[in-house]
Amino acid sequence: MYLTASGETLHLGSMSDYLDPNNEELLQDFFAEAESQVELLEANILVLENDPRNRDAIDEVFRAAHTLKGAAATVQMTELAEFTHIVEDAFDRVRESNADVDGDLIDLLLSAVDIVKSMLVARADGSIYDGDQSVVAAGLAEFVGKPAETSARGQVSSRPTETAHPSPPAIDADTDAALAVCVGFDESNPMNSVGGIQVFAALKRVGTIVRTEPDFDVLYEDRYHPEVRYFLSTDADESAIIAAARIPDVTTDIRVEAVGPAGGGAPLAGSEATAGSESRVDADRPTDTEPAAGQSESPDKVPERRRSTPTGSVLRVDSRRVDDLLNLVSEAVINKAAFNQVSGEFTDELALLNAGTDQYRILMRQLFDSLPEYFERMQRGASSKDVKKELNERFSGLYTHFDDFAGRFRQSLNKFRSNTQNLGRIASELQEGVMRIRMVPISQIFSRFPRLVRDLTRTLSKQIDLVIQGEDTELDKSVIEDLLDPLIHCVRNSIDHGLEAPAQRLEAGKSETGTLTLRASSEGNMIIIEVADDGRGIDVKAVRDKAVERGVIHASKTLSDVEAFNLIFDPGFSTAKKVSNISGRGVGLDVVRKQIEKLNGSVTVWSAPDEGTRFTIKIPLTLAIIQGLMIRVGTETYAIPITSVVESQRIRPSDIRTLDNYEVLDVREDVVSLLRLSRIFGIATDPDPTHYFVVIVGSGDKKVGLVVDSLIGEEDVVIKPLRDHFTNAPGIAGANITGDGRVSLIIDVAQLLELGLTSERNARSTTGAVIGG
Amino acid sequence: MKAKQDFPSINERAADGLKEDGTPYRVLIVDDSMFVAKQLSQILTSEGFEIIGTAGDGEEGVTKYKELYPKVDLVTMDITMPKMDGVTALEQIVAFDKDAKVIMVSALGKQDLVKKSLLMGAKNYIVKPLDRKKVLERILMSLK
Ligand SMILES: [Mg+2]
Repeated sequence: MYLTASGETLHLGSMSDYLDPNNEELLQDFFAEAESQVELLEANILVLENDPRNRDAIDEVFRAAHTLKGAAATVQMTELAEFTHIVEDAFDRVRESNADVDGDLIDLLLSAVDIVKSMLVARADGSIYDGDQSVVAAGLAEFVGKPAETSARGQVSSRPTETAHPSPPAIDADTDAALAVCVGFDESNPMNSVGGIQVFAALKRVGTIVRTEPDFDVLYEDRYHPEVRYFLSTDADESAIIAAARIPDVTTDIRVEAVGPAGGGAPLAGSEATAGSESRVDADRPTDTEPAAGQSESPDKVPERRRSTPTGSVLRVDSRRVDDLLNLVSEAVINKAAFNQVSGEFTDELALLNAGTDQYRILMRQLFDSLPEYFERMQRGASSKDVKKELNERFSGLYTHFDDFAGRFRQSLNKFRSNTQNLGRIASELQEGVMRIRMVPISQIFSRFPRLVRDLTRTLSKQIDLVIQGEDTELDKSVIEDLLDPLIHCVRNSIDHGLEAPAQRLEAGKSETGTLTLRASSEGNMIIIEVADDGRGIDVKAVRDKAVERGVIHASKTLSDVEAFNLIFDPGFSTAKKVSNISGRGVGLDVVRKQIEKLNGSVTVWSAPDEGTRFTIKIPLTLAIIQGLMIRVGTETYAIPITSVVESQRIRPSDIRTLDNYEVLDVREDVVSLLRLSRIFGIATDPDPTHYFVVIVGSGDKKVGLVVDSLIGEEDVVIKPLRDHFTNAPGIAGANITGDGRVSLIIDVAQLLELGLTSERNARSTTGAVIGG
Repeated sequence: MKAKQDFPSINERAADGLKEDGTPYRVLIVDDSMFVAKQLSQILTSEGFEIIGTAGDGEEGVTKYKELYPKVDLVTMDITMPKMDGVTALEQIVAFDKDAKVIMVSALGKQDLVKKSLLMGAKNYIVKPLDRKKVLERILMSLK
């Protein structure tokens, strides 16, 4: 960053530190880049597994490895740079040889990706990977060493730009060379074989190169030459030639020598000895022979600071989205000016009104004062017609007295209205725009699944096609991060319990290969994510029996199938006969529900025997804005996230039953326990109202009725995080500023459900009542 | 590991990224790696250069150059990129504007492609991993 003030330039150190390998921001950017390249690597390896000749995928793998290598070298993570270099080499080999990528290589590459991941994890923790990479490295090295299979190296190349070197350009053998330019090259330059060609290209600009020594072809080879002689025919003077040929770090000394008409003949040998030859030595500025900081192959240096969240806060925003926002901001500024103008007009009009009112009063007084005089005149015999005429002449202005004001006021009002309308549009577009900045495509997590599914199918000897749809669907970055675990859990559940082994599928008359679909779509302010399989479906009876056995439901309870399916989200519920290491792991789908509810979302399951199972997750687009049902308790306003509202009812106090000290309400054939928000939040309310409202919240079998004074309606609620001393308040998730500027609190339904469930369980254990939905 | 050049002195000299008339040199960065692009832009903006545009592949690079023409004073061109590699993009930019100043950004080991680029009209090349001093040196050499 620099500031220019009266011609002076200030450099701020913080920015120029960026390339310091210990710079926090640099490391954060590195981890973000590494993560995306690893993802690319893995995704394309999986593409190659099914399509071994896919050249695009091969190119992508090569590029990802190449980019990763470069990035690792920048932050001096040598082990990573070296290891990815092997992968890059292997793929360079694949590209050049046009070879297929066989299954062994795929396995090898996936192991390599895993090692890269471990290396990154280790670095993120402030240590260095110490696992064994030798087997994979050796395997890849062996692959690189294999002779090309289909065609000779260099003959067939997928890289249009890397065909055989170009023929020497612009060498004109017919021109007489007048000068020989002898250029020395710095061997310590990391690309010391390029200099010969670089000077060739530079000299070509000042004259015609007749020939070179060594030959152009030799120069083009990947070899270092300490000195190259360029035979040049030119009108340029020596200093111009030297200036053209001199390249810092690349060239050392440059001499220009006169030679006789050469015509491609031998140059004059030993220029120093040749009498009459002019010689000029241009010692270049002292060259920095020390390798550059970033290029040094220094031993591993671990950044001293430990890094806990390496990639947490890097948000890549499409610059167009920022531009859109800036446009809106300038519209807002214009809008502000328009309001200022209207405000001025209103002020003028108020003054006009005041003046008009004063005049009006004066005229009215004159009218009243003159009335006796007119009566008198009429009594004295003046005709009423004449009096009327005179009155009209004097006072008819009263009729139109405010017309001017009214016209102007109407105009201003119209302006005000259209400004307000504009403001409304700008505000909502701004809101949307700011939200969009936080939006990332769900492909960021969907991309993890091909590998996961592949590994699981192998472990379980199943055959599964993974279909991914709607990966461009966008949602809030913070939401997406919390969505990965629940999704993994659903997918694991489908693969483990839903999809059958090939033999079983054949028996059931299905194709051997099952299909698992991950689908995302948006619906209004909600994102819908489905995990669907075409497996055996949920065994309703088994679920029911288990639920009864575990005391989740009473044996006499009649359940619809949907209700039974949703029992699998109950804590500790698992229908698998034995706990497998895949979806077992001691956690059930209840964790999924808990995590989704934290995101103000809901999860449901549908299933049909032998047709399959489908998990449907619904979450709001963003955590920052939710649809809320606004309710009132006493004088306080609260918002209940609409996603958790099942229904609301108006009840009389007498509808509330008491069951063992707990208040409950009969809702059709169910009993729902009630929570009075006034008691939970300690708010004084009317002790003897004629009616209450009950908002039933929750989902599936977990429901609770919230008793409130009145319902206000639905509103978009902008969530503001609460300050510390509020966050401990049970049942409150955040605060919201309502349209009229008042603060309302947002109800944390999950917490209230916990509260309600505790009382429900207590009630049930003492009375055996069947409670639930 | 702080090298001396990481702390440019204050008020001693004009920023390198400024032309004689005091306006900044305008640079188009073409690179498929956000990381490298950011490093380049950090180095350049710290010296007063203006990043007039960035492109994530060769195709976009050529399009942006044509769009921004004649406002681009310099292009940094990565070599390995999707859709269109940097050498092809260089070729197309030079075909469009023979005075275009393009600097290749190359990893070690791509000598043949760097040579090819130089013969095609690239003004110079920068080696990755990037070194602040070398980046500035080579870019300035191509500009002045
Ligand atoms: Mg690249």
